[in-house]
This record gives sequence, structure tokens and C-alpha cells, in this order.
Amino acid sequence: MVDTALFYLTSFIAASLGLILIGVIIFYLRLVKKFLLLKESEVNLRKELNEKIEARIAEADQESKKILQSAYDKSKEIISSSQLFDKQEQDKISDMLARVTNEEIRQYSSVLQKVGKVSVDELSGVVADIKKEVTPNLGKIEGMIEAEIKGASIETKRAIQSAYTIVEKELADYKKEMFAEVDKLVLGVVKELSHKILGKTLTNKEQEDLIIDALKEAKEEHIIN
Amino acid sequence: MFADFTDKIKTTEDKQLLMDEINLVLKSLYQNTDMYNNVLQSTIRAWVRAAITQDLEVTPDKEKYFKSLLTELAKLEEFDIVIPMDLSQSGLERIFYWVKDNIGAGIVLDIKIDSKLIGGAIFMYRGKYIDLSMKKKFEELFGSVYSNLQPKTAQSVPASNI
Repeated sequence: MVDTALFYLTSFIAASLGLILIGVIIFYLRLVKKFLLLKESEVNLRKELNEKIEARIAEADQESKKILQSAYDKSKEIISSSQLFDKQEQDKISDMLARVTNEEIRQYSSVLQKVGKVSVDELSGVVADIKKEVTPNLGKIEGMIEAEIKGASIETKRAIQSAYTIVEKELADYKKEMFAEVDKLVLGVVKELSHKILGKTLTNKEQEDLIIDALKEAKEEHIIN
Repeated sequence: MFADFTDKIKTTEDKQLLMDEINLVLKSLYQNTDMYNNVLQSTIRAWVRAAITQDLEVTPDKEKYFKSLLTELAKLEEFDIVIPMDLSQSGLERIFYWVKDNIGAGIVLDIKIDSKLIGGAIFMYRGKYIDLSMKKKFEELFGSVYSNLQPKTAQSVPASNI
């Protein structure tokens, strides 16, 4: 009797344990499945996150290039519009600006790559901060460059004009004097020289020929007929 | 009739000298025969005397003859010419005959010398003037060079171009 009861009891316990085990296995399998789903989701999220980060980096990179290119173009325009610099100087400054701009872009891209590793939100913040910081500064730099160049240009132009006015007057006087001399030279010395050379070297026959030629010309001109 | 005279007169000096001679003879004619003969024989040039003697053989009225000759001489038209050097006799004849052949007879050359002309000549005839001297041509040449030179070098650069 006892044995039978023990047998049933043992069977009951075994069956219960078996059911519990099955439940645990099912629960485990569900957990594994859920884990796998979550893991897959995590991978997807990471991938998506990386894509977003790269897109934002590219966007920020483009934005930074645009800002720096704009600054470069503006500087170049200011320099080009200034008549203070000659072509050679403008080319030099333009080249320098191009190199500085390229270096800025390179450094900025490098920073962005590092920053981009942190997070999309942070990156967005950084981009916004950089834009926020850089743009006004670039504007200030542009303004300063423009003001400096304009100021220097005006001052230099004024100084040159002042000097030029004096020099122009002196030059005009000098030219007037020189042209009077040139006039004398051209219409005096050269003629005198020609006269001396030709007058003394022309023979009587040649002189007569010249007079006859002149007579013929006068006749053709209907001065004599 | 007066061809013997006009053919020999080439310049205004020739004309004036001949007119002076004729006037002198005419003046002597009014005084007396000796004076007239004396002037005719000793004062005037041989070729003039020869021409007068020849003409008077066919023209007995001496006064009329001399006056007509003076009138004819006065009619000779002057062709003003300025040249750079004195002409030789052959040169003078060459130019005179060119003028005579191309303009016509009855012209005498009024020649003036201006060595500054270098070459060529200046002509004035019947109120017309033309300077065909080398001096003028040099002036035109150098003048054009000078005028071309002056505006270029004297051109001022506007201050706005600084």
C-alpha cells in the first residue's frame, strides 16, 4: 500500500517536474527567440545609426565646405574688387586663401569624423554649434578683412592721389618744358641738320632738278598754268 | 617787235635794269642829240644798243618806240620764286624756259634766295601761293611725328585709374 502511494507520489512529482522542465524550455526558447530578435533589431539599429551618422557627417562636411568656400569666395571678391592690389598680389592672396580654406576644410572634416563617432544627436549639436560659432566669426572675419582692405585702400588711394597730383603737376610742367625743347629739337636742330647735310651735299644740278620737280608739282596742283 | 628784248629778259632784275636803261635813253632824248648819242653809245649795254639801233631803223619815232618798249616791259608778268641757292646761268635758263614753255611767254622770274628752304621752291603766281620746299616737307613730316608723339606722351593718366 505504501509502495503504491509512493509510486503514485513519485510519478506525480516526476510528471510535475517534467511539465516544469518543458515550461522552462519553452520559456527559454522564447527568451532565446526574443533575444535573437532584439539582437537583430540592435544590429539594424546600429546600422541605421551608422548610416545616419555618416549622412550627418557628410551633411556637416558639405555645410562646412560651403561656409568656408563662401568665406573664400567673399574674400577673393573683396580682394579682386580692391584696386589696391595688382594682379600678381591678387593671385598670391587668392592662392593663400585657397590653401588656407583647403586646410580648414581638411581639419574640419577630420574633427567631424572624430566627433561623428560619439552620437548622432551630439554630432548634430556639434554641427549646429560649429555652424553657430563659425558663421558669425566668419562673418566678422569677412567684415574685418573688408573693412581693413577698404580702409587701407582708401588711405592708400588718397595718398597715391595726393602724390600723383603733385607728380602730375611737376610732370606736366616738365613735359611742357621738354616739349618746347623737343619742338626746338624736332623743328630746329633736325631741320638744321637736314639743311646742313642736304643743302651742302646737293649739287647744283640736283637743286635745279628739285626746282623743276616743284614746278611740275605746282602745275599739277593748278597753281601755275 | 620787242622779241629781241623779251627773249633776253628772264628775271625782274633784268627787266628793271632794261627799263632803267630805256628810261635813261628816253630822258636823254628830251635833252639834246649829243646827250642821246652819248647815252646810247656809252651808258647802256651793247646788246640793248644793238637791238634799239636795229628796231629804230624801221621805227623812226624814237619817243613812241621807247615808250612802247617801256609799256611792253611793264606788262611782263612776274613769277615769284623762292629757291635755296643762287642759280647758275644755265640753271636760270633751264627754269626760265620751263616756265615759258609751260605757262607762256611774257613772264619774268622774280627770284629770291632763302637757304633755309634746303631744296625745292616756293612759288607765287597770280595771287596763288604754294610752298614745295624741302623745308616745308620736313616741317610737315616732323610736325606730324611731333603731333603724333605729343598726345601720347603728354596724355595724363586719370586719378580714378589708380
